[in-house]
Amino acid sequence: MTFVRRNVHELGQPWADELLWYARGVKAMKARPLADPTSWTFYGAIHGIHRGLWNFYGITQPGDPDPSQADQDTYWNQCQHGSWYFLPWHRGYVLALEANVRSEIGKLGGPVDTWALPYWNYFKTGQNGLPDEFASPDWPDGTGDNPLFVVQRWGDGPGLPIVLDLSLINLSAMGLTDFTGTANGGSPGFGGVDTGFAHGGAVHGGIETQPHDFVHGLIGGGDPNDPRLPGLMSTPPAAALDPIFWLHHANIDRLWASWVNETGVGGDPTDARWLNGPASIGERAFTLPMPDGTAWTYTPGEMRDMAALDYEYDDLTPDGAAMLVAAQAGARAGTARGGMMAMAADTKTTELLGANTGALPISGDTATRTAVRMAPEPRARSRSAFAAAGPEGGAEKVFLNLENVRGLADAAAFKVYVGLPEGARPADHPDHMAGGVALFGVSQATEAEGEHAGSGLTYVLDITPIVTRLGLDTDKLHVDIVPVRPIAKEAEVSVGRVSVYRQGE
Amino acid sequence: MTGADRGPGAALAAASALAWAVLLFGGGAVSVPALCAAGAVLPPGAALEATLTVTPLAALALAWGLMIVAMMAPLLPAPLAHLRARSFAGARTRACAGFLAGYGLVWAAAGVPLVALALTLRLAAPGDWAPALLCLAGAALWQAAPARRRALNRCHRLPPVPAFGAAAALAPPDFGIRHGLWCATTCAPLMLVTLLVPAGHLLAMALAAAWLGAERIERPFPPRWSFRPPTRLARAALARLAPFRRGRLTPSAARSTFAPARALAREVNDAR
Repeated sequence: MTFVRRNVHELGQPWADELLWYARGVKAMKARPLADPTSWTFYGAIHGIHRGLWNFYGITQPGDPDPSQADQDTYWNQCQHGSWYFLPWHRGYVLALEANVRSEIGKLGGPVDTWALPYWNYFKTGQNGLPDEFASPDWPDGTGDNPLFVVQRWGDGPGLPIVLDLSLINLSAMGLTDFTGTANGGSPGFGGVDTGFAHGGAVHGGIETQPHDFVHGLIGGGDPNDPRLPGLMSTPPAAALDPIFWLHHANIDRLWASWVNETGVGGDPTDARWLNGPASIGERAFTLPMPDGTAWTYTPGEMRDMAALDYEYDDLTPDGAAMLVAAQAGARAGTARGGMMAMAADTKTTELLGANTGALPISGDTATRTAVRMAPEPRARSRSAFAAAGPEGGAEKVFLNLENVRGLADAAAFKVYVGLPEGARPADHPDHMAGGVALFGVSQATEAEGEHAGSGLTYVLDITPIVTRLGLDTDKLHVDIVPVRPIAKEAEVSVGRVSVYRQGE
Repeated sequence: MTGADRGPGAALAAASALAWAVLLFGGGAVSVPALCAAGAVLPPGAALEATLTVTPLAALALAWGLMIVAMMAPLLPAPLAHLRARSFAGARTRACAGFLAGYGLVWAAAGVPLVALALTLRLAAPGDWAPALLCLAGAALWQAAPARRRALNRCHRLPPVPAFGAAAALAPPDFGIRHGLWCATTCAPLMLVTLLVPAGHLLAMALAAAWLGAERIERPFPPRWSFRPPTRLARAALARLAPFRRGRLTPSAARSTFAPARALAREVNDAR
C-alpha cells in the first residue's frame, strides 16, 4: 500500500476528505496534554518549544505539567537547521506526525489505509494563497473551533488572507548540483552544510534559505503592535504548532524528492556521517514518539527513498508546470558539460573577493545601502576564471554573504539588491535582486548562551548572473537591503558583515 | 594562496604533538613542576626569590609555553578556521598569527599568577598532595558553576572579521585576546591542578587536555549549576564501534569500521 501526498489546492472540493480527516486528527491530538508524547503540543515541542511564548498565546497554561525530563531530553528541541540533516530529519518528522494523525483517524473510523498529508505547492499558478480550510475559524458546518485555524498567522497583517508574494520566494535551489555545501563563503549546497563536530549551523542550506525560511516568515509574520511577538510559523520554537507547517514541509520534502529525481547530479550524500545521522558523531539520534507508545529512531540513510517508505507525491515538478521539467533537463545537460559542478564542494577554491566595513543595522522599511569594497587580486583571479570559462561561466561562481545576521525578530525578512545605481529605486530593478532572506531562527542564534553563542546566522546568495552582467571591473559593489515589512528598531536587526566570495577551480 | 583551504586542524595538531614530544622527552628542563621541585632543595622557608635564582624565569616561561601549546592548540581549530574563511586568501596567515599573539598574551599573563601560586604552594608543602586535591575540588566546583558555563559558551563565538585597513590588522589579536580570556577563565583552575600534583604531571596534563577538548565539542547550554561531563566524543567513538556490539562484524566491515575510527581525531580537529 503506497500513500500518496496530493496537492492541497487540487483535492476537488472545499473540505475534501484529506483535510476534513486531517482536522479531526489534529483536534484529537490537541485534546491531549503537553506531557503526552502523542499530543499536538508535544509534537510541536519536538521541533522546538518556547514555553513563555506558548503560555502567553494560551497554547499551554503555566500550570500544565511538563513531560518527564527523560522524555524532554529524548524528544524535544530536535529540529535540524543550518545543517545537512535538515531535509532527512524533517522527512521523518512529517512521516511520524502523519502516523499519529492517521492513528486518530483510525480511531474515528476514517480512511486509515489511504490518508496522507496533502502538500501546499505555493509555486503553482494561482495556488499561492493559504488554503481556505486553514483560514477560516469555522468547520464546514459553521461551528467555530476549526483546529486548522491559527490566530497568530500575521503574514499579511492581522485578519488578512495570506497570499504568498511570489516575487519573494523562488526555486533557485533546485538548480544547485551539490547536496552538501560549505560554510566558508561558497555555495551552501542544496541540502546544507556538513557541520561535522562543529555546532552552530550558522549557514542555512539552499533549499532551507529559499523557499523554506521565507515561506515560514511570510505565513507567520509578527504582531504589528509588538515586534517581540512572532507569528507561530515565524519562529522555530513555535512553528510546528501551526497545522499549515506540515503542508509546507510536505512541499519542501517534495522538492527534495524532485531534486534527487531531476536535478541532483551528485544525489544525496554518501558519507557515513550523513547516512548514519548525528548519532554517529555523538549527537542525539533522530527519535520520535509513535502512536503505539514506542520510540521510532531513524537515520538520514533510511530517509533517502520515498518509495521504500511506501510514499509518493502525485507530482514532482517543482512548480507544477510541465515546461520546467524540460528546462531542468537542459540545466542538467549543461551541468554535465560543466563537469566541475559535480565535484565535492570542499575540493573547490573559495576565497573572499571583498567586504563592507562595519555592522549594518536594518530597520524601518526603506533600503539600507552599503558598499562592498573589492580587492584587486582576487577580483583579477575571478575575472580570468570567468574569461577562461567562456560565456557560460563554467564552474566559477560568485556569492554574496550576509554574515553574522543578528536580531530579535524572527519574522523579519528582506530583499537584497546588488549593483543598483545611486538613487535608483530597488523595485524598478528586479534584475538586480540577488534574492530574499527571512530570519527564521535568528532570535535563538542571537542569544549569547544559545547554540550559536550569539554569533547569529549567515546567508549565502548566488549573484553570479548579476555579477557577470555587471562585470567585475568595479572597486565597489553596492548592496541594498530592503525590508519586506517594516522592521522595528527595538528588534535590533543587523548584518555583521556583507561580503562577496568567489568559488571555482 | 588560492587552492582549496585544508583548514588549520592539521597544523594545530602538529604543534600540539611537537610540544608533547618536547615535554615527554625533554626531561626536567622543560617541565614546570620539575623546575619547581628544583627549588625545593632549598632549606624550608626560603624565599621565592631564592627559588627563582635556582630556577630561571626563562626556563619557567618556556615550560609554561610548552604546556599551553600542548594543551590549548587542539582547542583552536574553530576560531582559526573562521578567521581563515573570512579573510582574504593573502591575509589568512597574518590573521591567524594575530589571533595567536592575542591568545598567547592572555595565557602568558595568566601564567604569572598560576605558576607563582604553584611555586609557593609546592615550596610550602613539598611532596604534599593536599594542595593539588584541594585545587581539584575547587576546579570541580568551578566546573559546575554558571559563570564557567557562560565563559565556555563564549568560546564558541565567531565574530565578523573586518577585511580592510587598521580594523583588519587589529581585529584578529582583539579576537584572540577575548577568546583567550574566556578560554583561560574556563581552563585555569584545571591547569593549576596539573601544576600542583607532586607526581604524574604529564599524565595530569593529558587528562585535563582530554577533558577540556571533549567539552569544547559539546553543544553550548544555558548557564546554571550543573555538573555535566562531556560525553559526545565517547558516544561518537561508541557509534563507530556499534558493529562490534551487535556481533555482526565481518573482516571487510572491520576495515571500514576502523578506517573512520582512525580518522575520528583528525576529523574532530578539522571539522569543528
